[in-house]
Amino acid sequence: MAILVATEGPEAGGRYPLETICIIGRSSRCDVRVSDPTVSRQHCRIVREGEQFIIEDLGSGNGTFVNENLVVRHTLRAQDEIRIARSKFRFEEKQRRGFSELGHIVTVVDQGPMGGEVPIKDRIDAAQNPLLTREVRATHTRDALVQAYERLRTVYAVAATIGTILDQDELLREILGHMLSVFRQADRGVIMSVDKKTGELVPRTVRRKQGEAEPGEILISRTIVNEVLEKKRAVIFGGDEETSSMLTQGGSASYRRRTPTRLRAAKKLDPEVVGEPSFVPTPEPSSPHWRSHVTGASMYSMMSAPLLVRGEVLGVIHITSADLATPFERADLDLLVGIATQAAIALQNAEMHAELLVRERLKRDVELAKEIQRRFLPHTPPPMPGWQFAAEYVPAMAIGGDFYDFIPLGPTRIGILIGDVSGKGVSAALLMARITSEFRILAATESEPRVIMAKANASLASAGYEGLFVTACYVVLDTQARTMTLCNAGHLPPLVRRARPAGLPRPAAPHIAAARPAPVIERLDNACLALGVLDSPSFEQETHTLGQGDVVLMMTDGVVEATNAAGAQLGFEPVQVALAEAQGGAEAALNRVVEGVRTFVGAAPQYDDLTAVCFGLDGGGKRKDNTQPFSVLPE
Amino acid sequence: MLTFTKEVRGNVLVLSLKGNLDAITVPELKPEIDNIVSERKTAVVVDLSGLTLIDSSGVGAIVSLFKRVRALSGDVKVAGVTAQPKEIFRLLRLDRAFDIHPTIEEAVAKFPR
Repeated sequence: MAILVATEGPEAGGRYPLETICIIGRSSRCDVRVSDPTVSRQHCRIVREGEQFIIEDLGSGNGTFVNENLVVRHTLRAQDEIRIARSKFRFEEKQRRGFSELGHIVTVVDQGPMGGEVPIKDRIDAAQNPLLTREVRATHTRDALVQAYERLRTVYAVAATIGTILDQDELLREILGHMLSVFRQADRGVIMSVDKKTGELVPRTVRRKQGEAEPGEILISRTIVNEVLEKKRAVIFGGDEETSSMLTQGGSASYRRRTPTRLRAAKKLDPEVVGEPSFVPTPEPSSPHWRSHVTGASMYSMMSAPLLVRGEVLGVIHITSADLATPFERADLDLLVGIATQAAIALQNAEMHAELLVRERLKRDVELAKEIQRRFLPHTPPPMPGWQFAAEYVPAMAIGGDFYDFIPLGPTRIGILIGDVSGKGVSAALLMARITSEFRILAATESEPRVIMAKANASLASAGYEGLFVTACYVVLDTQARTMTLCNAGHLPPLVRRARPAGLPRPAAPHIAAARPAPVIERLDNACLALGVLDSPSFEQETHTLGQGDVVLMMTDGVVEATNAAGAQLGFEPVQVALAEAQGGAEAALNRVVEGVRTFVGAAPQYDDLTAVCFGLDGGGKRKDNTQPFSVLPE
Repeated sequence: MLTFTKEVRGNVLVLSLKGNLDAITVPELKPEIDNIVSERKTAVVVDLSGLTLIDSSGVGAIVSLFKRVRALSGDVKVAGVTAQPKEIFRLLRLDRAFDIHPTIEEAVAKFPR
């Protein structure tokens, strides 16, 4: 059970239980609403993944801090302090060892109270469903046959009611409830499941026939663990004076001498201690009712059976009775095994259902992240008469971190950005969303690309994104002066297709095709350090003049590292050739390059995002209509 | 496939990486990076002479080590980067951030004794 406690800010004093997903923000639709204008509408969220709670920033303006560290995604620990703007929250989680919601802990004890005989009265192989396999002989009395029939009917009735429950906890409560009503003498029961990762026995539900069971420690002897978990047997024990007196004589004092050891894995049990008797339900001093079985004079009878599905033990069901007038018998054990078999199947179904739900949620997360990314990419090209702009963005199956943007800076100036966040997954997607927003803001306040890069770097470096960095190339295009000023931070070099080699005079008669030299590709190799590595590296920029018919191509490594089925990478050369051979302006050039990548890759799976941006002056011949929105986003 | 070894030379810790450092193998290296930082190693040489392939996650891991050791007022130097990793380092201009040396000996010698 985890809760969020508001400690500072407008919501201070609020307590919010955390369930599978909790969105924190200013919007009224958030689970935790914070009335503070500096908090983003959807600021961050806390998601439960298995036993863990993970906080994720949702691209907030002012960031999400855990213990004063800016985080994008962070696994919360008890007592972590979360800060968003001026509001602080404390994450509280009760220890999840054992079964915290119940307050019960299972401990396996090495020795019985007296170290005496094993008080097991009867045992059967739980893998053989005795209700179905035990022979019914003609010599059986009518009563015996009626009883056998009744037992089968009970098993069927229980199976029918539990078969449709998909919530594991509800299912286990229901199973135990049935057990306590089927066995009239039973007054108390517990179902424990085996934790698949740790092998620990975890109490999942504890019930008394009347009222709630008090939280306490459930002690279980290695003998029982061995019988039920290892040998997959159902057992009856206790139930006569000899055993009961043996157990009661030990009292709580002898219990204290024992060293409880937590069960790690049933398989690793020390064979030397196996065979020691005793099951002590709970000698916890704070639990007087259960304790009386150890310290008082009352006698009891108990049964344990494994929850067994195809040879795998999912857990243990244990019920106990204080009514020694009718101790548990073989017939009861048969019935217990019959019900436990049905219960195990229902439990396995519920577990698989829960796993499916988690997988579905993860899939939705991936879709959400992709959706976020798409929204951060531009949908329409900037209308700049005489110029063409084109972009291609093909996301890979996994979430990548490619981004590009066209940022309008004025009637004759436009910012063109391309970049790639290292790594993959939700954190890369969120960082990509953040960095594109940041560039938009910086581009509006600064004009020099190198200053913009330096500021973006400073923000990224101080944000403490562990192991994440960004490569980016930012161009400011002046459509009037026909110049582009660019700063490249560790990104692939832009390629410029020159309609005319630099330095050659403008041809006197451009309409004579023969006078036109073949296009030349320039690679702009100057670059600075990628963003987010150093706090304040130096950034340089350079300015190039663009002529009629010149085309600039910027791309991510999804282009040059496109891999075909044979495992070969495309490389730079074919891209340069495609660019040089393309006829027409930026759109045609981009199409040619992308076509080249597609042909090369063939049917091989796409591992990386592929992004390319192309722009240039119209060729001077037929003017292309550039007012229509281009389609770069896959539907 | 990634293997890594640690070696102490004087007051310098040499971490040698062999094989591929990519999205698949980075999780194997991460606990080692955490160790180096929690042991407050301030003189670290990352030997990449046996590294044949690196991707952006791999670079991220080395950048993370670099930043965290720097935060302890220490330094990380890189030795022996060749082949594809060298190309990536050049592309990202990491030579502007990392002190890169041809051999471990040269990198170790750059730390004050």
